[in-house]
Amino acid sequence: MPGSSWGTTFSGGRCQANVTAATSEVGARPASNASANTLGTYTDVLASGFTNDVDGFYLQLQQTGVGVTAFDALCDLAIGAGGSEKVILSKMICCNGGTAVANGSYIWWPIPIKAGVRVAARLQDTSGANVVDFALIGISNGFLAPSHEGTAVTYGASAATSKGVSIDPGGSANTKGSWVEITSATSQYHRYLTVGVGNLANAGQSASTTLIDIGIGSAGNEVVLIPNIACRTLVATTGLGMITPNMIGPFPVELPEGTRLSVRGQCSSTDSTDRKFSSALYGVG
Amino acid sequence: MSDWPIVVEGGRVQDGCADTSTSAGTTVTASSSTNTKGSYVQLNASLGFDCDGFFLALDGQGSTVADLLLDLAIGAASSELVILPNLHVSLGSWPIPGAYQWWPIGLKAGTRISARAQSTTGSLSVVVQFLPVSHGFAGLCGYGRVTDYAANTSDSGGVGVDPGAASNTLGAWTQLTASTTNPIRALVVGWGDRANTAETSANFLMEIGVGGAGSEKVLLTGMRARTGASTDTNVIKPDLIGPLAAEVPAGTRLSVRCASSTTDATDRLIDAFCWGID
Repeated sequence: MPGSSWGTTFSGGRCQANVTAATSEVGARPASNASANTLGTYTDVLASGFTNDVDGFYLQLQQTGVGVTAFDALCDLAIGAGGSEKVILSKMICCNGGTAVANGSYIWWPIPIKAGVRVAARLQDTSGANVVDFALIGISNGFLAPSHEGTAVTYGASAATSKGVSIDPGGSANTKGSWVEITSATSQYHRYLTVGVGNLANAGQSASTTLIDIGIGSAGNEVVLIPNIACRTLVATTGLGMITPNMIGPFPVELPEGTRLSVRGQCSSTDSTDRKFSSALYGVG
Repeated sequence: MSDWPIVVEGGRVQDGCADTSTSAGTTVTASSSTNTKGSYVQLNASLGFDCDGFFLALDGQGSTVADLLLDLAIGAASSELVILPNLHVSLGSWPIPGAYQWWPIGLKAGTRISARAQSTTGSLSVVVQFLPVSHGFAGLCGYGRVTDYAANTSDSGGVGVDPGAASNTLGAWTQLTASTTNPIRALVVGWGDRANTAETSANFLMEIGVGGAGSEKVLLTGMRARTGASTDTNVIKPDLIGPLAAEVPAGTRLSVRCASSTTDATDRLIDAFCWGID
């Protein structure tokens, strides 16, 4: 929970979740549309919402399929009644590569949700008719809660491809490649940045390691904001690969509206396909 | 006018220990003796600035199913002081990175950071990446202490929990500690699969409780993990969840219970871990 002040501003603490024994320890499992790159319908995450206002929540996105063909999914979390959902987190990356447990990071989102508000989820993916598990843990505090951020904005995730922006570390192993723009200008002030990393649905992925930099500044003048986020690509026994972790953060950085965001990486592999990854960035606040 | 919130202003992230020659973090290898802490490996000789906390990612290596415990320490060589004791990593059939875990522990500029590890099979390793984060005015919460309430260094595991023979049903409470030694402001919980080499895929739910035996009250709920079959990853993920805000005074009894989708007498058994932050 970066950014939360639990000193003068913390009192109490209460935890509510959608994962129960009655749901077979799964939570919610929305499915994508049968057609590739098409959003599926909403599935309840918490049909009746939290029983108390929450100041923020941890969200786990975990792939489910052993032997499922590698795919990249973009996942939405929304609030509101059926038919009137409002997306509060859009196009979160979750990769699947034939192993059921490689991901599953719980990511903190400092976004409050009122008690009684329905929470729902949907997704789309690169091949269609796949599922992702959503596990949600809401945290509420007492007097002077952790910092509340109202909105999250997604940069770089494409509804047309269900992927982030493709990043090529280049043909030299373990050498930073060129910067790739994620957005030319952030649409609002952000207090936090969470980093999404995808596998470009590479079903023939080989094992490699990757370091990722997040930069700000104009083209040719980028300055590293977040250095050397380490990720790894996996080769499952079925020959299906993926990259993990998919979501990292939130990093408490101050970004004014209009900031240009870019990403670069280096990889231990020089294979022209396997060295590539995708990225999307999520500004909060 | 400027927006000067109480808890956030500025923000800086530093690379802690990336090895750019391998595009990965720094490798920490456990002692060749089982369940024995190895030598410290330096992660960062001198932090470049005061940090309010840090992200720590543990990337289990190799193809041996095992449990591994890692200590993160500060201080000069031979004078290391453990600040994060016995962080657990479930090692599986191939290298699998863990989450970037946030630890709201403040560290001063110039501090040396190192780590050491032990495992159920000697000489296994974990790749560590460490990203310290600082803020400007008022900063983050910057706690100073992490207390381990569950690790068992004799088997590099945690407190064994049996969800019971009924699937998808919370089992009995198991005590983590009879009495917390320090006040707690937030908890990090962890999962282990007891180095089960013949694992089946299953879902798990964990709850943390407070109160006397037979009178436990749920403090934290909804924490979920999944095991991968022995033909797949053969690990449990995630390794760690949190920090979860929870106010727990010193002297509190902590306990844990779990539910599982499997009723297999071995595969349903897990290890629980719990670290208090204050």
